[in-house]
Amino acid sequence: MSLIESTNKSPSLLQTVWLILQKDLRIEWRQRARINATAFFAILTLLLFSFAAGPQAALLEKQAPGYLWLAIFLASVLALSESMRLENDNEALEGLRLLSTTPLAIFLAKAILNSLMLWSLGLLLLPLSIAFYDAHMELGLHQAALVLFLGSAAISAPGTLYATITSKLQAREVLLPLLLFPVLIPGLLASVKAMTLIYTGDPMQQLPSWLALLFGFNLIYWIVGGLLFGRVIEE
Amino acid sequence: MLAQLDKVSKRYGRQWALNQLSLDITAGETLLLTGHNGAGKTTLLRLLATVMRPTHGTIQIFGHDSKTDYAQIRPAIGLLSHQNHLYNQLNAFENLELVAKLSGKSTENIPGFLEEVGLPVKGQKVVAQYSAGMKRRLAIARMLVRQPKLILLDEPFGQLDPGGVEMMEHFIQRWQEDTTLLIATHDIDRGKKLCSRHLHLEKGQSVCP
Repeated sequence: MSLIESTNKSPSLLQTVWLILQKDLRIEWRQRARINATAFFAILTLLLFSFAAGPQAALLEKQAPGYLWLAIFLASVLALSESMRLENDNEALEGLRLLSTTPLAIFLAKAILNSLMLWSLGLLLLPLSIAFYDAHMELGLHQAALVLFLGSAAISAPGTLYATITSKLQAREVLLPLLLFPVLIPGLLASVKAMTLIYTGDPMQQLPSWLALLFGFNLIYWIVGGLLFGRVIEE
Repeated sequence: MLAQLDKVSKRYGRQWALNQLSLDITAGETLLLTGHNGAGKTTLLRLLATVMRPTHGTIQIFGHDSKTDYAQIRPAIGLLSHQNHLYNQLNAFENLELVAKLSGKSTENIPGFLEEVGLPVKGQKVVAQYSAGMKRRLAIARMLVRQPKLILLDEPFGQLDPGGVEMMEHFIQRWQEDTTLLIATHDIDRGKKLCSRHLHLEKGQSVCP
């Protein structure tokens, strides 16, 4: 028989996710360093691509969706590696574990926050990429927002897992992209293809297939991330 | 028996921090843990807190195995460690509110707890702006919110001013009424005054104090 008397009503999984997410949003808003650094890095990357391609308007316009996703992809390393730093200060993550918070709740809260951050970044970069590369969007903004959302979520789930694995290592800035990029390649390809259709038009109705593929990647990434996160944070 | 350690060992790389330690902890007792730096005091507390797993041996706490049933054990354990487990960008109230909500406890008593540990109730200062002593006081308030059954204190008098040390002693005496405590400290005289049993560790093993 258990010797522990429990009279407390523990919060449900969703309530726990919301409490951790609320706490993280408050902290991100107060420091804003991660948001600012990621946004400036991504904008700079977009500009650098245009310098690297030179004054070839046709080439820039054609490659705009790829450059947009590469900027999000590269900036995500900055955002993800910082996302676990606040949990390492004062061993706050250990404090969360001692409150008997389930690893799944911590994973979901962190991955949702990272998805929201990358999605917002994508929404910020979308008009900038159109302006920098003189590109046009043939399909609607809501379809672009959906692709950006699914692509951001596909980066965030494995990104949160690998950022947690590398967060206490000295060479985390080097190790995170080394571990993460190979895993993200299928998601990145699907995101670029879907975004290209939004920029150039979709006469063959291929967009739903790419969206379904992205959704499938997300399903796998989020389930595997949720299952493995407990093993990562428990010693 | 509240906790039972059976031939517990813990290794970091090639170094054994604890070596075949067996120990029974009875409910309601206050155990003083002493030993030189690296003797295994912190490791023992962290193993009992279930944030770390033994390399060999078993630990039963509240009748549960610490390796497999840690989710059942953790709500009843309070660990006051060097790290304090606080969020630097939240203020004192927000830190305690998060702990209360995640533990399913009421948030009504938080202002009272802050007053008890001598911290401002309506202070908007975030923890990053606190001194080490103030962080320690907030960590004590965190314990008051959670009301654990087994309290593990790692150097509880460290980082505190004389007033803080007195306050810590007061809380230890209060907790002794209905809680089991393990206190790891180098302040042996003060520890002996407060504890009912003394365990001295040397190279990860228990020796006669």
